[in-house]
Amino acid sequence: MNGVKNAASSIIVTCTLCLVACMVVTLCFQVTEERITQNEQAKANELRLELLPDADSFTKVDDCDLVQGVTEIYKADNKTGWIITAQARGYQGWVTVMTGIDQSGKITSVKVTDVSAETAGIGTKLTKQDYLDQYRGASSVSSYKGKLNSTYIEAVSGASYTSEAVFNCVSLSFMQVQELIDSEKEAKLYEQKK
Amino acid sequence: MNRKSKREIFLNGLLYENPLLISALGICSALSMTSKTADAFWAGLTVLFTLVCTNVFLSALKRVIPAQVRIPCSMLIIATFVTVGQLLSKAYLPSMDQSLSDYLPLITANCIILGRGEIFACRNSIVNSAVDGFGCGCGYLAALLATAMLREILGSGTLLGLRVLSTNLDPVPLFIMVPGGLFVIGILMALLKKLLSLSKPVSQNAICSSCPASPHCPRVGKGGCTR
Repeated sequence: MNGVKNAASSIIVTCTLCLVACMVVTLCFQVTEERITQNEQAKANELRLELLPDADSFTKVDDCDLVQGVTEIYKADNKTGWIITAQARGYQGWVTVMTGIDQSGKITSVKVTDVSAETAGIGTKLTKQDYLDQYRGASSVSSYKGKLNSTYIEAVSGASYTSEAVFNCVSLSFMQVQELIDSEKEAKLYEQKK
Repeated sequence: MNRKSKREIFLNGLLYENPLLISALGICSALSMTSKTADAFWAGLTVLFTLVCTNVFLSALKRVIPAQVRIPCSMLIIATFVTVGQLLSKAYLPSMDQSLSDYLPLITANCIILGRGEIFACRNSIVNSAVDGFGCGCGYLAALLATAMLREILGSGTLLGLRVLSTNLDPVPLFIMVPGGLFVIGILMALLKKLLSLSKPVSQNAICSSCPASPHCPRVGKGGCTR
């Protein structure tokens, strides 16, 4: 009888605590939800503006085919360019890169937003702006010297896998922008024919 | 149980039973959170907040929660406070959330919080438990900061993102990796033990009184298990 009583009291206490915990977390979530969404949007917009300083605001592009590896496309509302987010495999996991490309097809800036899966102190060297500045102004990139009309991108010694992942992400972004430009041209031609 | 003053309880948590450097608790999370000083500071503050709140609640509910379900209930209380802390930091301290986003949920599994709840909060008054939580939290924060500062200076050559090592000296990346962290924590453990043994030899009774196995241990009062 005592055992049943003990078990019942354990069940009641645990269930009550679970209910109270759920209520506290739900209440806290409801209070903070609006502010969290605002913070996330502001942070994302700030990052996009950093990559494409001439833009005013951005709209997400949903109605186009994504190149494999590209996860998100944002277009500047004043038509100054695009922000492409792409992912590529690094040494231990996925590397995420955001690339700002202007209307003429030149890179305005590159930012590595996630290298958390890579080796600390080695793969994370790629987040340094000094290294990423070599992409700035490029309209085509190459990982070996001497290729015509391409900017040569040097890899970081000891972090060749992560360097390659960042390079691949930027290349994917170029492919995606080319596709966007082509589809815009096609749409214009279609309208003219109409 | 012998009565201790609030100052003694605080100093006990801060120095004599420092969670990281004396009790060797929470090493896993400490290793991942101390590669940058700013991350370590925010992580330490979150642990401090969670530890004080959890100790207060566990102490208040010690007569309500049956012994059989004390650990799951403690985990539930800890997880609730960590989630609340995470939501509050996302809303009001985005910079903290940015540097701690991966590590915050790990605090739920931090054995310091569960350990202090089991060792202290479930046997003592609410105020004493709060003081113990504050002392241990401060001790953990101080230990994290010391480890992170050494690791960041030696491993990246910077402190809080500012360059402090001469440009002629190359930092040693090993220190911001896990093995380097273990090396630094080991050195700090040895230093603190030496300093404490110089200032005040710790009595075996003090060690036994904080041991969770003390009610059933045959070695209590006979020199303890370490001697």
